[in-house]
Amino acid sequence: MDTATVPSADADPDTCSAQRGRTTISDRAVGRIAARVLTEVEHIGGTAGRILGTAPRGEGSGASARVTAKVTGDSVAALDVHLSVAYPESVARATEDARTNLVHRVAELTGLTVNRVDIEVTALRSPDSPSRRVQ
Amino acid sequence: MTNPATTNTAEHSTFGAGSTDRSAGAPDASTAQESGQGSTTIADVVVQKIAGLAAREVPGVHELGGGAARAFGAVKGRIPGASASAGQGVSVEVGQRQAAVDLQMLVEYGVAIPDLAKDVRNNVIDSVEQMTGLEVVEVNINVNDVHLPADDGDGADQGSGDRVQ
Repeated sequence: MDTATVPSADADPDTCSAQRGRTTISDRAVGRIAARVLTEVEHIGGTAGRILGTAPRGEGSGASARVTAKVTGDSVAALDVHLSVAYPESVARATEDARTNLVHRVAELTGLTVNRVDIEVTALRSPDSPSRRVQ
Repeated sequence: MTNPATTNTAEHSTFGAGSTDRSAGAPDASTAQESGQGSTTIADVVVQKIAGLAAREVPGVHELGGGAARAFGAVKGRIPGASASAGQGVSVEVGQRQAAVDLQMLVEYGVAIPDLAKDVRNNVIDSVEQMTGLEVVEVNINVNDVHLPADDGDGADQGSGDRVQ
């Protein structure tokens, strides 16, 4: 995992401009990146909008996983994830897979260190519900 | 370059009014470079536009500006004859011989943001320093959102903003 800190503290010989200014990434940007990353993970699905415990539009309604990100101190991000798991799969394995992917890819794309990924599995998608094709 | 010291103040006051609120507090909204035979002044908006165009040149930068500025820019871009401002999402602070730039960016999903930020910073610093002669002390970059490939419903007209100029 590349822990290149975002405030460009890396000693880059070719650019003295690396010290000139800071880079910050908003919580929203990190959250959206994380949600997009989850669509690349197998057996992980989105979380449907719920009203009184029921999902009016169905579990497989194509919504992406809900991720709330919190960036602290410019270089550390914590993720709070709501997702669904495809039914016959092991929830433990699927979520562990999701966590590994998130930590790795979010660090790669944003340069932030992901120190915590809290996952809440909101549903098990039944096999007959349409698998997501896009996103 | 060292020509008319009689820079018309009327023009500068309009520039100052149109530029970012940060410049409003500065005693002089434009910068002066004395050379014995006259002074060259560079207004804030000049630096703002140069920085905006330089940042947009870097692949991976989808758009500049916060959510509200982008929405307004998209509306403005549809009006014939008007175009989204080059200085959108850029705020600058220009002194006598130094300038500082703050950027709000929307980046493409898939690019490594630290690398992108470095490229943008280099390009902005090079462009501003080369064109204005001001020393750029810092370029602060805030990535406020990412553009996902699935967002491309209205991506076509947003993209055209990058092409012109």
